[in-house]
Amino acid sequence: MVEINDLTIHRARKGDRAAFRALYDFYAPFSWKIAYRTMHGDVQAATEAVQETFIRVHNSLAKFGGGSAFSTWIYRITYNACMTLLSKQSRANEMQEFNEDTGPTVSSTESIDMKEDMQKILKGITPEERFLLTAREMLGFSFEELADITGKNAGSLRTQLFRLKEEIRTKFGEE
Amino acid sequence: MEQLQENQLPRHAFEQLAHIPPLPSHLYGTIIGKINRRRIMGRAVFGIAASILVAVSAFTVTRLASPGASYSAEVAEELSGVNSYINSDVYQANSSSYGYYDEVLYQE
Repeated sequence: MVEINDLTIHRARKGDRAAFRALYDFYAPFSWKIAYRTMHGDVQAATEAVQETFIRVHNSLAKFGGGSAFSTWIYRITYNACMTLLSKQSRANEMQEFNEDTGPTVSSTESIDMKEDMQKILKGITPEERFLLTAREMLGFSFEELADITGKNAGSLRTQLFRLKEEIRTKFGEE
Repeated sequence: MEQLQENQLPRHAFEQLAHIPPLPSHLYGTIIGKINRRRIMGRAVFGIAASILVAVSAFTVTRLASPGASYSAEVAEELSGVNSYINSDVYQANSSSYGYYDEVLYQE
C-alpha cells in the first residue's frame, strides 16, 4: 500500500490539524470504500464507520507504535469500527428480522439477473467476506496485510477468497 | 498450506463491486466537530470529577475532625489568658504605647 510520509504522521501526532487533514485526505477514500462495501452499501452506516475510524485515529495517534504499516493500522480500525457497528445493528434488528420477510436468499445454483446479481451476492455473504473482497480485489491489499487487519491467518483468508470468487464466477457464469 | 492460483472476478462483478459513491464532502467537518465535542465533554467530566473529589475530601476531613474534642487543661488555661489579654484595656494601652515608641525611635 502507498503510505503518507512520516513527517505528516509525526506532525499529526503533535496535534497539527493541517497534518491530520492531510492524513484524512490520503486515507479516508480507501477507508470509505472498505466501509461502504463492508456495510453493504449503507451510506449512513459507512459514514458513521469512517467518522468513528478517524475519531479513533485522532485519539490514538500517540499510541501508534509503528509495528505495522500506518495504512494497515488505519484500515484495521475501519474494519473494527464496521464490525462494531454491524454488531450493534444486528442486536437492534434482531427482533425485527424474526418478523420481516427479507426476501429469498441466493442459492449457489440459482440463476441471477446480471443487473442485480452482485448486490444479491454481496447480500448473501458475511461482512467479513465483503471486506475481504473489497480490500483484496479493489484496493489491492496483500493477504499478509489482510491477515494483519482481520487478525486471521493469511492462508485461510486466501482459501476463503478463492472459494468466494469461485462462487461468484459460478453465479455469473464463465466469461 | 493449500496453494491456490489467483482466480479473477468476472468483469461485470468487478465493475459492480467497484461502483462506490464518492466520499461525502462534509465528513471531515463532522469528524472535527465530534472530536472537539468529545474533548470539551472530556474536560467537563474531568472538571466535575475533580470538583466532586475536592468536595468529598473536604467533607471527609471536616467529618473526621472530632467535633467534641476538648483541650487539655494547660492549653485551655493558656488560651483563656491570651483571650483575656486581647480583650482587655491593658492590651489597647500597650499597643498604643508600642506605636508611640516605634514612631519616636524611627524618627530618630
